[in-house]
Amino acid sequence: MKRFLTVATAIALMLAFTLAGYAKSPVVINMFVGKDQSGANQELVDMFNATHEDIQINYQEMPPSTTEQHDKYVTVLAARDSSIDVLSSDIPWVPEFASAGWLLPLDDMFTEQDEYFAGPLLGTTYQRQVYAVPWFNNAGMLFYRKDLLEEAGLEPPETFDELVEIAQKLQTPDRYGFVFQGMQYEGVVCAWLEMFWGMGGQMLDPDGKLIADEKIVAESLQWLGDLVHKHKITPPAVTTWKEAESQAIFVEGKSVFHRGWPSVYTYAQNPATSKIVGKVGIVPMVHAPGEQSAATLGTWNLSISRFSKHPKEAWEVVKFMTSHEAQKIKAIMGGNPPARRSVYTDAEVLEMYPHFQQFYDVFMGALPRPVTPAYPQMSVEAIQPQIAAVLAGTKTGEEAAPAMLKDMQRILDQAKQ
Amino acid sequence: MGAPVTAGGKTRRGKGLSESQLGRVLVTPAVIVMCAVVFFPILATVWLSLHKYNLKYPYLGQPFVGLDNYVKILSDGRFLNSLKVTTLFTVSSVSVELVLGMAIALLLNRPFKGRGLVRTAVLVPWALTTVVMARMWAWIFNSEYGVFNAILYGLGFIDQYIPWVADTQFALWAAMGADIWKTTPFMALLLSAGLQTIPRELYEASMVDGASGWKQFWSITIPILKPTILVALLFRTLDAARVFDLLFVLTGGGPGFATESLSIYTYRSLFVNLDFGYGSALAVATFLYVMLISFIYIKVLGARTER
Repeated sequence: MKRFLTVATAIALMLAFTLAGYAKSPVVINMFVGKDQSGANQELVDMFNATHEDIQINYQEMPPSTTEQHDKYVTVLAARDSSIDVLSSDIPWVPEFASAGWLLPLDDMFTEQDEYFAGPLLGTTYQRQVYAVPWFNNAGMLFYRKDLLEEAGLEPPETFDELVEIAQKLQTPDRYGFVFQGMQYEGVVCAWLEMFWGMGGQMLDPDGKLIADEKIVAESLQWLGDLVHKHKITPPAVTTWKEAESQAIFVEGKSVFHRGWPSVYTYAQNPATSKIVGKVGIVPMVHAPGEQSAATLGTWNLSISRFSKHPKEAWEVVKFMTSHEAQKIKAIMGGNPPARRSVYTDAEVLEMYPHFQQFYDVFMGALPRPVTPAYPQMSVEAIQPQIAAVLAGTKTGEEAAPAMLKDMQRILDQAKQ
Repeated sequence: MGAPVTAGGKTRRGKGLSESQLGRVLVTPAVIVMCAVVFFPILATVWLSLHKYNLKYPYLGQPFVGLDNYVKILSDGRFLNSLKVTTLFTVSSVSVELVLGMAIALLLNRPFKGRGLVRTAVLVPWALTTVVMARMWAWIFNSEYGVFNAILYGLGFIDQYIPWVADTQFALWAAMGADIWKTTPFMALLLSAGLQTIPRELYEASMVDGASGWKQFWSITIPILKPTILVALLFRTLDAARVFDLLFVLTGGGPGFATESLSIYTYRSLFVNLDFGYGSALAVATFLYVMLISFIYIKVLGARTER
């Protein structure tokens, strides 16, 4: 009997210690984010982990390629696997993943929507529910060589025609007029949409119905093609360029204008990589007379997986990561333009990045790509091939537009019964 | 072996298992495993391909649509393009590999000093992981720092660097180059194994009869080597027709659809479009395509070998 008691006590003690251990061990939140070269994410994770005893972030970096990230998320989420709690989502994924039922609606928790820009919120809301919190903004804008324009006594362009005119005037045999991302991939769609919107085009109505005007589609496509084949301010090699190539040309001082994302500014101002430090100006993308400048959003957001076992703790992480302080750190360390509007009036941020004032104007007019789960397929199968054909000069805008719209409609129809 | 015999000398046929029964019992676990890991997934894919099923639209359910997906495939330009890409890739790389592989095998079949070393060295590309070698070739073909550009530029063949894998015209050829580099050793290895089975006396006898080297090659080497060539071609063709990893890493199927093989399109249909019904139909179509190639090989090449 005595022996039995000893054994029982021992077991009870072991159990108690184990349970106590469990009670003390923090909830681990697996946070998956695309590769971050600035180190800001790690800094934020360390800050969070140091201040939270009960929640610890397990920070996982994904490949830098957006497509690879997407496919990895799909593999995990389609299996309803709980190994992802928090994930960074590119703006077109939000309707896609939300429609698939993989994201947690955040309406009850995400109450500070007024603090954000309108465009990113349009992109993170699907069928009247919000599925992501904007983390940092990205939108296309026009970079120009301030020094060259000033020297020639020219104002930065506002309309399509002005851009062409100035580019033709200032280009030389060693300097292109205008460079952008023209390879057949997602980036070229972002560039084209800015032209399409800038001519007054609209793609989908709020119910997701295709309402694009064929004439505007044709004109905007033709405009891109003309840059290469008629105005000759963009070389044919544009069809082999993504961000890295077009940006390298611009910071080497080999182009007057460059359509790019905000990070271009950081590269252009870095003496180690750039020959045009202090010579760069930013304006919103050009538009047709009487229309508004538009910018394609590439906002990165934070979402919570519906299969997360700790949604409450995951929200704590999202809340922390998207707080004013955190976005400020991401802005200062990584040059990532914040998603919260309040950070743009932060003296410390503005002192370091005075150009954020111009970014602010761009973001106020920025729009998400068509908000539909069908968008990724539309982009690859309907939009990209037609832009590529026009840029290569094998089709005119008028020939490409009907084909594009027909394919878009076909893909949208798949969502119907 | 007869039926088991007990100490009393009586057979125990009634109680124990007959030999064929025992055989069936022993083979059962293997059959179950094969069914679970091979036949079940294939049948499940076929079954799925008869449905409309898109993960993005869970509210549509999973309705049975018969052969609808297959009808769609036949008029799908992207599918036809991937079929063309796959066929061009397969035919071009495998034929070059066969010729080069044969040349290397013949060379290695001659005795010379350091043959063992050369034989090993030739195998190195084949030993590399495809993903690693694809990444390596991506650097070789790089438009800014690529050594391929540097060499061509240095020799004066090009006057400016060409983005080989980002250009619609060149991307597929660049991929073929990488594939040839990697798998020629495999061809060479199989063929040189085959060469070693040819008795030396045949060559000696033919030499006495005054046959030239060329004549020997066509009348002795090729006929005897034919079964080996068939196997080597079959292996390589099936591999090339299902090419995925090399293209996925080197070009990502791009630019546009310029290097989108059947396997890559299938993958994209499943993982980008999340269209599991249509994607499964594409997978089955790829399967049928590969089956067709094997069938042709065995019919055409196999029949002649038997004669």
